[in-house]
Amino acid sequence: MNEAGSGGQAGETEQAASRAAPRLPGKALTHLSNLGASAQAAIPGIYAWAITVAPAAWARGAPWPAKLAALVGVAALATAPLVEGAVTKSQAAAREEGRAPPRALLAWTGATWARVWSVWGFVLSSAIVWALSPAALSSARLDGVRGALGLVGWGLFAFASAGPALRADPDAASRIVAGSPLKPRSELPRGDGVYVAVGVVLALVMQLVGWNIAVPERAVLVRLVTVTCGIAVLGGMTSIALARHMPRAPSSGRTRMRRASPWIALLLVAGGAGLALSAFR
Amino acid sequence: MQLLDLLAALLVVAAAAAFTFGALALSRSSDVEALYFLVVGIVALRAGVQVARPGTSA
Repeated sequence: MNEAGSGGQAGETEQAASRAAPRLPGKALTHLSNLGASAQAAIPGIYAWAITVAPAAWARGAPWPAKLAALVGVAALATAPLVEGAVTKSQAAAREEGRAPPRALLAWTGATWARVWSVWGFVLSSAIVWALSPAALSSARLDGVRGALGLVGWGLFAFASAGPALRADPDAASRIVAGSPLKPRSELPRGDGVYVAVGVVLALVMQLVGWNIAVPERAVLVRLVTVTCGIAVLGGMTSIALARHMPRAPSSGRTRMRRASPWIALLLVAGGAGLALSAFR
Repeated sequence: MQLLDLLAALLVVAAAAAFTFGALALSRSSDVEALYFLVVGIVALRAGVQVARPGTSA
């Protein structure tokens, strides 16, 4: 009985472990946690960059060296994990071959090199951006909420850079309670995703309009109209996708056309009137 | 895919195009033109949804 019980427990543990095996988003997070502190610090760093550095570099009147420095800052954040991996690999190779690595490499680990590159590269490039575009940091142009969020981003970057890397908990799988796998109530029918994707693309295309309007009130009005129209188009596409799965009578086509005919007629009248007006103008 | 479903999808795409032209006209401060395109977009969207709805209900 005991053996059977322990066998059952082992089976449950295996099931739990297999369920705990990382899926796509989980796999990415596991991979990220294995990269090291520099990779984990890059996320709040990029957030801080997007809020406090990029608006200053791409503000009106900012010189091109400011943009270049801003790009160097992002490059420092993005390439720090590669630096860490490359140095660690070269040190391991040197140890395996029995030769002494260069003195500087011997003294500093890959994590230290990555931290130096990430912290100093990012901080110095940001300082250059702010020095070249000082007007972007004036209280008249810097929103209070954005400044506070940027402060939080920089604080998180400093915290993540200074602390050790967070590793995945090896006991996490054992804490999962075994049970029946969750099943979706219904599956998304084929083709519906295409309708929704087309709706999303159309709604996003509308958002490209009206970003260079000088008058703020007009810009807000255009934004409001494009967002409302985007939601309406997305809703229309979703309605069409859902309507495909409803039960249909044999004479469904005639009924549908009869119901839609006033709207189609109105559309033809409006379209014809517009064409006639533009022709006679 | 039925022909009417295709017509419905085309009407919604036409509505999106009309909305985009309306937004462009609005950003140029051509308010009458913008209003015209937005009305055309609303009518096209409504027509598309009505064509797509199944014919069982009245």
